[in-house]
Parts: sequence; C-alpha cells; structure tokens
Amino acid sequence: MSALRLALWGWLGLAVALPLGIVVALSVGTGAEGVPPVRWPWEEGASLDAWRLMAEDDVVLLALWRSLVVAGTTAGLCVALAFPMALGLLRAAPRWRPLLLALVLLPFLSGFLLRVAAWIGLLRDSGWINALLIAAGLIEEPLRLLGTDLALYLGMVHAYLPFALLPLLAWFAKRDTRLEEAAADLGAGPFTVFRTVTLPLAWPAAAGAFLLVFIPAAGEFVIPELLGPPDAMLAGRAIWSEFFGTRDWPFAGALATALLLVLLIPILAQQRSGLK
Amino acid sequence: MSLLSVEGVSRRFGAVTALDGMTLALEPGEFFALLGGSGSGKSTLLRVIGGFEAPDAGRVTLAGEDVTRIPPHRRRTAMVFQSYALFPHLSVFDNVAYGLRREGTPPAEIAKRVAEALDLVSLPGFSERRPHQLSGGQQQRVAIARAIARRPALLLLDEPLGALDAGLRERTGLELRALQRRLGTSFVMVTHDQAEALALADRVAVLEAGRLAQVGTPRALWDRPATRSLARFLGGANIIEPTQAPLSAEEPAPAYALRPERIRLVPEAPWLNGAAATVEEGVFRGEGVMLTVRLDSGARLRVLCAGEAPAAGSRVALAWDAAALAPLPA
Repeated sequence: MSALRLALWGWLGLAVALPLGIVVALSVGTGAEGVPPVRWPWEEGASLDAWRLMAEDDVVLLALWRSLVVAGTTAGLCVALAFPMALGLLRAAPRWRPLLLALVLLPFLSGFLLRVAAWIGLLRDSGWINALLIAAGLIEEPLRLLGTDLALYLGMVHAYLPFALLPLLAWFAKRDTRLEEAAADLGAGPFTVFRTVTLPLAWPAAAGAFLLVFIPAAGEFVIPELLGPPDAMLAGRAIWSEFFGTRDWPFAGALATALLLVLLIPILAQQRSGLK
Repeated sequence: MSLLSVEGVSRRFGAVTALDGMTLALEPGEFFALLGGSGSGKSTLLRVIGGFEAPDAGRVTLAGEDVTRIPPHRRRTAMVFQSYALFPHLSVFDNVAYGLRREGTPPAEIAKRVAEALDLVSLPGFSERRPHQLSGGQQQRVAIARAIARRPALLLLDEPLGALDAGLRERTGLELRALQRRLGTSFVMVTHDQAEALALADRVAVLEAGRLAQVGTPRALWDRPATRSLARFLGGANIIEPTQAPLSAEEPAPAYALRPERIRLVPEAPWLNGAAATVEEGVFRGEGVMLTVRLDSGARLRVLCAGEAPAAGSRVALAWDAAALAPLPA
C-alpha cells in the first residue's frame, strides 16, 4: 500500500507538478538571448511583464476564447453522439457488441496523424468527396471543405468521440434497468422513460464525459492547424508560435498557465457537484 | 369472470425453460402467492404478468382483455420491485406522483392522491425526503404507495419482504395483508418463503421447474399436498407407506403424508396408526424438539416433541390419528 502510494505521488510529482512548476516559473521569468531564451525568476527576479502583456493582447485573448468555444462545441457534439451510441451498443445482440465496440475504438488504434491526413485526403478541393460530387454531376466547382469549421469539427469529433463514449458506456452498462422498468410500469412510454429517468440519472456521467473531451480539446493544436480555418487562431497555436516562432517563453508560459487556470474552473465545478 | 388468466404460458431463456405451459386464474380481490424455490419460474411469471417479459407461447388476459402483447406502460398492473426501484433523483412525493403525472392528472388531484397513498402505507410527512434518506422499510412503503397511487387493477409484489430484517418481516406482512383487504385490489406476491405464503395469501400456487405443482388455499395445501415432493417441501412432512407401519386411513392410498407435529408420544403403541421406535437424534427447534426416530420396520420418521424429549437411543411408542394421514399418489 505504501509502495503504491509512493509510486503514485512520485508519478504526480514527476509528470504533473514538475512540468507545471517549470511552465509557471517560465511565465514569471524574463526573456533573453540564448538557449534557453529565458532568465529564470531565481536568476534575475520574478516579473509579471508576460502576464501584463497577455492581458492587453486582444489577439491572444480571442484565441483563448475561441479555444474554449471549439472545445465546448466538440465536447457537446461528442456527448450528444455518444449517448445514442452507448444505448444502441448495449441494446445490440450480445454477439454483435464486441464487433460494434471494436469499430468505435478502431480509429484509436490507427496513428493520430494518419487519421488527420485521411480527412485531408477526403476533404481537400481535389479530394474524394469533391471528386464524387463532381462525378455525380451535383456540383461543377469543388466545394471548399478543408480549412472550414466543418472540417475542424469533423476532425475533432472523430478524434475525441471515444473519450465521451467510454465513460457513458460504463455508466449505462452498470445502471439499474429496474428504474426504467418501474417508470414504464407506471405508465411512461419509451421517450418519457428516457426523458424523466435515464437522462437525469446519466447527467453526472454525461458531465464527466463532457470534461474528458473538453479539457484535451481546449489545448488541441494539430487538428485545428491542419483541418480548421487558417485565419482563426486558437490557444494551442498561440502557445506554439510563442514558444517556437517568436521564442518569447515567458509569454508562452503565461498563456499555457492561463489556459490551465481556465480549465480548472469546470473541473472544480464538477467535483463540487459530485460531492453533493 | 377471472380478473387475470394465464393460459399455457411458456418462456425459454436459451436452453433454460423458465415457464412451461403455465395456466392460472386469479379472482378479483384475491391475495395470491406464487411460491417456489429459485429457478421455479415464479419471478418470470410475475414479469410476464407485468409485461416485462413476452411469453414464447400462451396468453395473458387481464379483466377480459388480451394483454399478451401490450407493453407495461399500457397495462393496468403495478409492480413493487424487490429492490423497490425508487427513482433516486426524485423526492418521495415525486416518486409517488410519477404514475399520476403520466396520466395527466391535475396537480391538485395529484397532491390529494399522493397524500392518500402515503397515508395508506403509514408514511405521512415524508414527501420531501429523497429515497436514500429513508430506511429499507420506509423505502418499501414508498414503493407500495407509488404502485397503488394509480389504483391499478392488479398489484404485483416481487419478494416484498425479502429485503427486510427478520423482526420487520412478520409485521410488514400483516400490514400488507391489511392494506390488501382495505383496497380490495388483487395482489400477486412472489415468495420463496412458505411460511410467508401460507400466512398471508388467500390462495397459493406452488411452482416447480416452470410448472404449476399445486394451487389452493393454504389449509388445503398443508392438509392435502398433491405430490410427495410438495409434502416434503411444505413443512417437511413424513412420507409413510402401509408396509412400514399398520395404517388405517380415511381413504386408501399407496402412501400418506404425516406431519411431524401430528405424531404423539404415547405410553404404548396402538395396534393401528402407531408404532414402536428408537430415537436416533433430537434437534432443538424452539417450539419443541424435532426427533428423528427409526421404526422397527426400518422407516425413519420426524416427530415434533413439545414436552420433555427422550434421549437418543431410548425406545418410544408413537401414535397418530387416521385424519392426520393425507393420501398421496405413488
């Protein structure tokens, strides 16, 4: 037990607290020439310049806001899709269940970049979808699909759906179906049973599924970069370009810390509601 | 006309036959018990009556209407689940009001009928509590109130006393029976506890391996079990044959059921309906000592001895009345 605890705290210290500490320390450091392009706060004293700059930078704040909108929309879409999928999976004949579950999880087994590349192949102007539509005579000029919000959300939902599906599936598999039978027994039709019993009881699981998608999606960099609109900046790209483009590490650290702080709000809200 | 009739109902789960051509009829106002061990099909039968299981064959008729293919939400039956299945996210009031809301009952009427139902189960003033704030016994009362609030034609109870403490069971059973008398609604209760079935029900159906073994009043079941296995199942009767002791019964039969409490210890065994025996062992049972005795013919009998029990190895003389011998088939 104590060895397990030691391992757990060791893991949390090394993989969570240490990197987090470094990023926070970066945000109160000062920029400098050289490698790394920063003076640590314990070398030249802490400075809040990066935070001040960020608070005045509308472009970066907008990127942060847009990231939350994209993450929230993605999480909402994933949960809305995962609900019927989880219920459908559990209602399927037992011998089909493993196959259906495997189909849902299959994208997880292929490389992440490969999946994004596949979407590019499907969606670009000379891609499969446009080729098919032109061949069918439905359109003459290719539709602009790649680099739109549609492509962005297709990629995001495709990548994050399992994060929403698995917790909902676990919840639905262990739920007490007698409650739904009792509701039907008391005169509720199938839809009313869902609305008055299944849905309210699944609410905490749905909130958990939402967060599991929302949190990683808010920092997502690759999918918006490759599939989404090129002009709309998200927090992920803003952090990336500050780190590797302008090499302003204190600013990048402040931005990363700010994103984390914003994400802490829904986590704390969920924990509080879970305690009740 | 019967309130409920079950005709030739069969239900299989894969290779397991839960119900095999079950036929039963229930009269209005009856307290009916389905008694059987696990795997006897009693719970499946209850679920077929409630509409949660569709039978593979046969017909279920409720108040003259064929309901075999009618889903639960359009049947006038109400189920009290063994686990109570109270909605954890709703207050006691909203649990009891659930069925009334589905019928579109006006709010004032709902408030009145919920209060009535909670009164009937002696649980007034609990409206605002959540199910998890109640004891097991209180949860059960809410489950019953929820089921009777819609005034169903038939109330189905799945092991209603099964989850209660031993001390609560007898009192709750009697309350259940009093409630049934007051409402005049037919109750069907599933139980594996024969004492419970015999004490509470007007009629008891004993199920064995998905078939109906016997149906009748508790008295008839006790006094005239239809088969040897039923005689042993209900109260552990002895099975005695004319070759084992000199028997004189009211009607001739190849074997008889003889209950342990109807055998007396006497100073000398009579010529007929009596025997000399040796005590093999005695087990204290509270109301007396259950003796296992061996007749000189070799047969073993169980004898309930209310007074001072003879020690193992001692010789005793037994006697019983001709009326105590219940005829059994071979």
